[in-house]
Amino acid sequence: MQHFCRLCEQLDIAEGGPGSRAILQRYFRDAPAEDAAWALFFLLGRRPCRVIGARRLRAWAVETAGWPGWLVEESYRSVGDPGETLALLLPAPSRPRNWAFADLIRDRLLPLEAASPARQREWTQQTWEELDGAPRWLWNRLITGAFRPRVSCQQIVLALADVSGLPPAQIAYRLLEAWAPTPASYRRLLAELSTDADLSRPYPFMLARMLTDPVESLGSTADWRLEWKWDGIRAQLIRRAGRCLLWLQSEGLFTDMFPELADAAAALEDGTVLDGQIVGWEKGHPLPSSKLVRRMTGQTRARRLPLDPPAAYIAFDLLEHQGHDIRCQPLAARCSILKSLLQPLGAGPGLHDHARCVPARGESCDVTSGSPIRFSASLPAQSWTDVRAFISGARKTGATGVTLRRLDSVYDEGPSACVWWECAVSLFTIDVVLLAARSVRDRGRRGSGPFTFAVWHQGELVPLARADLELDREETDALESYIRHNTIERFGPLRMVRPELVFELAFDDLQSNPRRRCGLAAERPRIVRWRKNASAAAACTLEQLRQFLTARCQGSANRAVPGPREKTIQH
Amino acid sequence: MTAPLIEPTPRGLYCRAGDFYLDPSRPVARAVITHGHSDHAFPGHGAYLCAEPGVAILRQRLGARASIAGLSYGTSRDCGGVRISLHPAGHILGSAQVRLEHRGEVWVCSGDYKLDSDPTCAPFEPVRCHTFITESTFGLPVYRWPRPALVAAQINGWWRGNRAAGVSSLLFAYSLGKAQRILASIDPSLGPILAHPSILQFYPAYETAGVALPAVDPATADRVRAASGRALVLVPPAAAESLAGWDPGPAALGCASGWMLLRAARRRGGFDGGFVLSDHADWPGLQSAIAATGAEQVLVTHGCAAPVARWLCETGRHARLLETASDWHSADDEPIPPGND
Repeated sequence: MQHFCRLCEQLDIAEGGPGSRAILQRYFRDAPAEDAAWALFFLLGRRPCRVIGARRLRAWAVETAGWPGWLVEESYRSVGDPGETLALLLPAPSRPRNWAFADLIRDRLLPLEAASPARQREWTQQTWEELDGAPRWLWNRLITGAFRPRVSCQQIVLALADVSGLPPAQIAYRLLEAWAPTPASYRRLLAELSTDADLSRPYPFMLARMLTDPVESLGSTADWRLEWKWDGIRAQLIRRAGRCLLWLQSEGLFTDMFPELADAAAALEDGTVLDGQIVGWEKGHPLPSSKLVRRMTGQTRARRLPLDPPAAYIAFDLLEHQGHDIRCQPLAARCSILKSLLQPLGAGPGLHDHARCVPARGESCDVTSGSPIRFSASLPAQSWTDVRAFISGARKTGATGVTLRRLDSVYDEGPSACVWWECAVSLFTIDVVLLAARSVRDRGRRGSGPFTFAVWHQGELVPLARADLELDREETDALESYIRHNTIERFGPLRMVRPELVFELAFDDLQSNPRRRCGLAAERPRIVRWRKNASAAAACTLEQLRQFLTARCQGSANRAVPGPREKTIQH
Repeated sequence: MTAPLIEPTPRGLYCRAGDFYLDPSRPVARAVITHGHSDHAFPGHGAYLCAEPGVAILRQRLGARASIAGLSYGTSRDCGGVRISLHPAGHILGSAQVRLEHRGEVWVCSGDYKLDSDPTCAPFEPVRCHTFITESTFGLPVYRWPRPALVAAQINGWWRGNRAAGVSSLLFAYSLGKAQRILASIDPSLGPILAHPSILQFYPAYETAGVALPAVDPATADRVRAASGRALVLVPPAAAESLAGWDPGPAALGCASGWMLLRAARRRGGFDGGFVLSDHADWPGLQSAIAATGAEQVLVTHGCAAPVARWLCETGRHARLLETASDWHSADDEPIPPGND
């Protein structure tokens, strides 16, 4: 129990950062299998259904501790965590007992659900008398279903891979299978069995680099394959041994979130691995990746409404064909096989009909017509002038730019292989005012974390976006000093600063979002630079942004709007 | 009804009958100082009176020119018809409760105090009185401290564990009182101990008072690097920035404070070692201290005053809030209050 509590505390402090992996690794290496199995269960975010409501728990605690309600309320306001407040308010344990984590779950937590309300109270209070401090806090969290570990699935997979010596892919694959929080099941998870090793394995992703030189530096256009770059989630679609798996570059195995893609992949033959991009696609338009990310978050998952928004898989490469690794074949050959594989699936027309270079808006290419797995067609460019035209037109098609891949290149994840380039993401920039900074402590040093930026609305500043700053040493120091000397108010770690500093904020797109005070959400906001000479009064207004949004919705040119300007970072 | 013996004013608590202030925050002619923390001992007063063991600390804070008089615990001095005596508060070395007697009426102002044992100062001594002015920094029943010996063992264990892992131990502790209390409680044989100069400046004062502290080197960039992986380095939270210039190698970060009882405070500071060690009274401590005074009236200030006053009223005592305009700032010796970095 203490061991697991210590793990939770350390994960809390690591805040999901890179340290988490080592912390998890230590825990899983040392913990007995019984405990580790349950730890894994809870860390993966699974939980038995919520047994005791927070209100009932509070009532029992008040009854046990004997404090008046107002004092409990005051205490809660000071502590800030209901489970912790109750744990601290209860008297010291009268019959301390050193519970093993798995025993507590088996003997106390699991029987609780089926027990009568009177027995539930009895067991809960009995457990309080046996536990102290962190274990008591954990118990309160577990029985109210409020235990939320600060760790990602990916980190757990990596840690288990470290402990077992198995490839992460295999661990992730086994976690997909039905497994129970039992020692036997846990041992099987980490056991060296070769049967499933290859079935789930993705290939290391080959990454494109941002092109900073002019496109002409790449030589002849005839050597290159030009494609749209979509705002989506990079993934390999793996079809082996009768199963379809989606391996996300960032998250690992994530098949269950995209059942429509897995279903569609069933039409492919066994021994096929595609590389591509998952893109949200609705009414003929690609959606910003943030919508897809929202679909992948826990809430939607619990409600089982996984098909909104619909996803398409834009395949741009073929890595395995008929069970053979074909990464050594040139790109041109891989793509022609890929095209021949995907055409029979019957992808809807429109999206890949690039004869007119840019598909008209509203054209039917809804993912519901035909397979959601689509072939990323090559864009016809005779010269670098054509390429530049595609780059500047990317935004209008909903793409975020183009990629250029050498036709004779092999698929190689090595860093030396600079044969894939990403190009020319156009974005919008506006001037915003720094409104607040969150202070963070890093190894005892104070600093500032995400910053809040605002725009004007009727003479007031309303927060628009939160973003981190990447400044050089000198600018960072100057900013920290400004924040220290110009804090006008504090809310916990949040410092409101005198609104005088102007920054240039870039974003991919603007959406209306009624849940926010400004009514707008900027997609992927990031700070381009600190505009030291600009005056805060001249920063962007909410009205300008609203006009910009209206203009975009009506499909008219966005340059006419005085607020956001379209900016091409590089060509 | 006679005028209260002590009344709040913008400069601090004021005794009209004797014409002096208690811990005033703005310059006054005569000040009685409960202890040497910077939020109680302000510079600029005409004359200072404090407990004898606290004179050297005040001298260190205020410089050679300040007029400081010491009064032994338990002895009294007359000041305009008011009998002043000072009694141990157990907060830090030289901390005192101020007892005032005027025409048979006795008031005691607690200053900051704790009931837990502390090898660096005289233990809290209950004083019977009619009116007791109490602090209430940790005046909620969630705040109950573990035994100090247990906390010392935890710090030793943490240091030992870090050493075994080849990791330096950086421990945040307030420079006056807390740091010396830790130094006097831990096992100095575990490895080299380094302390920030702001902690060491008070060493002579402790020596004068006869408090035994282990030998400690000043923490400088060179020494910290040389002792990397083995040393315990004590740093006041206010000097956290100075860590930027040091290179302690891989280091574990700890903090000793009452706030370390709360997960949120440990998480916010990123403290791998959070040690619940406070120089203030916890909830049971406040209750027993108040009861021991036998006071007819309790005035609560400084911290969770409202809940403590309400609780006292509901349990049959005559208690109310004492609004101090100057407000003693608790943040000084308790570095990380929740909801505030």
